[in-house]
Amino acid sequence: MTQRNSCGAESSEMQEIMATYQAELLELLYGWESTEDVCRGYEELTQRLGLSDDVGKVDPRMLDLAVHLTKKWGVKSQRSK
Amino acid sequence: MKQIDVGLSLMLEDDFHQAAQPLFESQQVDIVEWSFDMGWGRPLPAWLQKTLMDFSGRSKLIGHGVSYSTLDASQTSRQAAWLSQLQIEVAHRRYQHISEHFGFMGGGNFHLASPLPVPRTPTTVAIGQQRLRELALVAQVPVGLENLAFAFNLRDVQSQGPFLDELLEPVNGFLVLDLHNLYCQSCNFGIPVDDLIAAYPLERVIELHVSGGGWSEHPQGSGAMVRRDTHDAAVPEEVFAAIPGTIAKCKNLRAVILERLGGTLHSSPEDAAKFREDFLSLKRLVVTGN
Repeated sequence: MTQRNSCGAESSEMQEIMATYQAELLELLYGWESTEDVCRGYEELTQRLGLSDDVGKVDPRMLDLAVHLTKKWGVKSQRSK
Repeated sequence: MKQIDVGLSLMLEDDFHQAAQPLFESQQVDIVEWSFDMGWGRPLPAWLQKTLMDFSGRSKLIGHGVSYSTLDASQTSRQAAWLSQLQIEVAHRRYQHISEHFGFMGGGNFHLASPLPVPRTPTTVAIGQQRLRELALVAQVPVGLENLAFAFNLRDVQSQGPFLDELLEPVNGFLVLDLHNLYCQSCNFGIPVDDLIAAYPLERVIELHVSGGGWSEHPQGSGAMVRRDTHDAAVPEEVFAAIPGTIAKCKNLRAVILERLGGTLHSSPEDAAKFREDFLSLKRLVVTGN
């Protein structure tokens, strides 16, 4: 059975969407300017990729911590190198 | 009753060696876990090589990878290169089982950063199942995953147990239940540890991880604190308290592993003593239940 997301994408496209989500999530964490910006960016990213609404609802404390950890200790994703 | 081994997660650093040595000398350590990919591409200290060969020879060595990035959706050569290294590793040492982590790697230093959670979708399930099949093919021993402490939101917390069950099902994989990771989620999302444990497929648990961690202040100084699984402190009482009940619920449990990050045991002489005390308390709890 072909899997589709809420935007109607098929499974191979969905893997690409998920890879985009992960790569852009890391970009977002690196590009932090304010908590509000990164929360808004995360919500926009999940909406644009057709991920469900509850994926986009993020705890600002945890997103901030992810920003902190990624910028301090992280390496960029393969795509962003 | 089946014996439950109590052991240590091995570290490369000298302070860990010095702190753990009395436990090895008094034969308190039943089993050891080695994060083999931490050692790839660098020389291992002689004591560590000897310990690995000794426990491998006694069928008391278990493996725990940290950088496979099981739920990474990108198609790169990284996972294939990791599996090639694993093939060499398992030809060299005999692991009883091999586990990895839930999530994808967003940071370079596993212990100081964290794998990041992934939303549960048919796609992410399929990616993880395929990665586990590939891992099992190379490992040629049972493979499993450990639960993750970090979560972006309550949905991540609530979905992780069923998500792990779904990932592990095709390879009949096992679960490494990390009690400090659950304690972190309990602190950060206000859910009792027992309620979190109940949401996991406990029949799959063959190994428990026990550790300590610390608190991070909100990076922007709002005063909000977040509990983190940093493996750099003593085991909290709340984690010790959860052990007997968890053991009773996990009928297939075989090993309980104490984790402590190398390089965090030299700030005072009490650090190493407390680490050994934690290990002996853990052993007593597992053996006698109190």
